Amino acid sequence: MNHVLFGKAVRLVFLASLAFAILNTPVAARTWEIEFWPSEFTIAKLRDLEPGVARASCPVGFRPMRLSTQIDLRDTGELTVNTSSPEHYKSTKIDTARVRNNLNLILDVDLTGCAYSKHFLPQSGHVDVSGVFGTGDIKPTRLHFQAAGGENNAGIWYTAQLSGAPRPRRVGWSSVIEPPAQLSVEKTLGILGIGVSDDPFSVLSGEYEKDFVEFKLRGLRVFVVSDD
Amino acid sequence: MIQVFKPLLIVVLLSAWSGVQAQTQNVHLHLNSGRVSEELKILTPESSFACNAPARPSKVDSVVALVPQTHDLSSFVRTARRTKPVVVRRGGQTDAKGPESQARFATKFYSREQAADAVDVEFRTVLYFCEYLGFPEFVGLVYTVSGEVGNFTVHKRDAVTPDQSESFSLTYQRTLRRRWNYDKGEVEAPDVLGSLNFLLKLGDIPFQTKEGDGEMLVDLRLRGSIEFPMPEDRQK
Repeated sequence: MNHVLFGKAVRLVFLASLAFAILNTPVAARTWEIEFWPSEFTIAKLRDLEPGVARASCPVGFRPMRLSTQIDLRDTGELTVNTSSPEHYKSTKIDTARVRNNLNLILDVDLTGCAYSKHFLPQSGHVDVSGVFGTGDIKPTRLHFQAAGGENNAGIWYTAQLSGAPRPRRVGWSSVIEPPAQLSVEKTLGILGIGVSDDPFSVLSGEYEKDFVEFKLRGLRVFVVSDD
Repeated sequence: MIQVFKPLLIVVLLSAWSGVQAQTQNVHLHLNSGRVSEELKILTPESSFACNAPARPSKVDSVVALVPQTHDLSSFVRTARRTKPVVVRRGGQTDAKGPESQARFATKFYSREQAADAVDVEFRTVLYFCEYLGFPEFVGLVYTVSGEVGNFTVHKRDAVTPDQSESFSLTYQRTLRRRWNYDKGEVEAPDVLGSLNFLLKLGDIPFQTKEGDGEMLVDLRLRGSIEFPMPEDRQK
């Protein structure tokens, strides 16, 4: 008798959870993952800090400088998107296709720091992320950087090119990005690396409003050149 | 008469052809010094070169040895061509005019294993900088390749200046002020001030045979990185 009751209960729980799963899935928040594979280098100028901008305190002999640039990721490489949500749901399939058709991220980088010779010490700044995600827009998000520590969700590092031209960079298994040919050795100061890690971005509108969008940008490289 | 010299002619043509080959395609030798820790030594301005104040002249030394296990040294056990007497037979008969003629043969001086024992090549570089607050500005470098490998000896010393940018690529990355130590679970101060990364490309380094009767041109590539240790007073 107990066995029968137990069997019924198990079946009931199973059916209930199955129903819950079916009903719930289409409206549940999905997680998307954007990855970026660079195919071209971007170039940014290091400029003297204009008066009025909050000055970084620089060691004697260093100049306060500013680096600001906009990077359109669709123009400089390939953005891929994947979802961990079950692929067999028709809605997920359709939405994945929508995103793949219309996906872009734009990074507005603005840094201040101190420069000496070919060296640049980024002190503080931010990376603003915006873009389109399928039928929706990505909510503009500001990622902060502070060399002195504190809450950092943008990773910034700089490598000075003391001699010669920057070496080609290997990306993934087989592809190699060559530095732009028109880049003169004399004007090249160094290479700025940008890494982004943050809580998932949110999408403002469309079918993705409830979704989480994770963005993995491990090492975007920007050639830093002198202004003159 | 021509028929007598036919095999000889082929041998001569062959060696001439391999001579042409040797000219167009140098032997490549890639060295990697790995990651080493070396201090940036401050020089006195009187004994060295001038830097714009407040920068000071400085240098960093690096030595790397050719390791047989990690380099293919088969080119260095090659061969010279030696003239040896040969007996020329035609149709099983020796030439009536004289059984002996001469031909050139490739002879190995060393086997591969012997060459591995006979490796003693050192690559020394001295990089010169103008330094300010630990930030280096490249002024030039002097390199010396010397020693012997297999049947060859090498001794070359030369300088590379900043305008020879195609042969020397050098970067410097200052270490971020603080680093997360996963093992300790805390943020800690770095013990490295910064690191240099370099790639030196040298073409046509002459390796002479010990007998002095020939040379082989070698293209050398040296890559590696040098870490500057954090000065004592700045550790914390």
